[in-house]
Amino acid sequence: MPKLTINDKSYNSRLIVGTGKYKDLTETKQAILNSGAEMVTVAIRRMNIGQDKNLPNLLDYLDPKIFTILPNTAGCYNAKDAVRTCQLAAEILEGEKLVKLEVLGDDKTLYPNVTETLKAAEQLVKDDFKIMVYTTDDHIVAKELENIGCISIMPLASPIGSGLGIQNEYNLLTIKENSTVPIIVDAGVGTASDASKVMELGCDGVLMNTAIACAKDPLLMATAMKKAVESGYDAYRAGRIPKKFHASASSPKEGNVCD
Amino acid sequence: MRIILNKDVQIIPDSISIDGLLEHLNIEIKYISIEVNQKIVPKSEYDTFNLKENDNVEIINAVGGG
Repeated sequence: MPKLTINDKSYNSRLIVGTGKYKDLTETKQAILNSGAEMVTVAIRRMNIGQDKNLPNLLDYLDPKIFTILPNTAGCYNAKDAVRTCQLAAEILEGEKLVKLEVLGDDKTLYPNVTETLKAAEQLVKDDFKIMVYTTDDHIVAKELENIGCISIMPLASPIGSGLGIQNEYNLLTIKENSTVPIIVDAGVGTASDASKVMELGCDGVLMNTAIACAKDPLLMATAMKKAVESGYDAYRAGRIPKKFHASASSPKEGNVCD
Repeated sequence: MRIILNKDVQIIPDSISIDGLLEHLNIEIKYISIEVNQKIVPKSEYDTFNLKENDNVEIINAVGGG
């Protein structure tokens, strides 16, 4: 299977997973291992002061030497906060500047605030960050973000955590058609078929968190998602048959014993 | 002396360095970022950067997120 290249690094897996909403760090790690993901997202937050020094840190479980850690700017509602969060993330990760930029518009839909996202992207590119950017499924905005210098565009399939799957596949197709950087569909995947569908459309990868972490059996769902992404991508490369209105028999007419 | 630490008031020893603060709080210098008055202090300066009364200190780390 062709590898996915992001920020000059090649990945066997086209599935990127989040690390939020799991029962504990043991489950987080096992789900990630089952998913086969090599890149994982994390959030940047104030430390819980007073916690036991011996309590494991997320990054003790997910060694940055093994996994590519993709810090996000979740919870930021303006460009200034997003830029600050990326700077904090780079300091946490010893100068690594690969980030997932997301600037949200409101609490209810968690829809991207495109104006602030563009502003933040411009500043972060100047500061030499490598930006994978969460955005709407609007190809005009996607192209603007690419032109600013974002290294991957990550349009939503549907709102974060909604599990509604792809709401407008034609928008995703148009984004893919117009882009020269990897398109990773981020947010809205509910189950394995959604992930397969994303890949069957020709997108370069999928990012998900809730669909795995909040499944009844997160570890099994992580395995299912791994297979779904691989199957969808293989099906895309194999080339599906055209849809036809009428049937087309699979068995030969010649030699039919029923005539 | 009094500082604001992650939005809460904390009383810490006078003229303490960031290294000293982390030791005082029993926090390991690994996978963290520290801001003092909204400016990030590089890890290389933790031993020489002395805190002052009323400094606003933020200790940040990575947590689970999507």
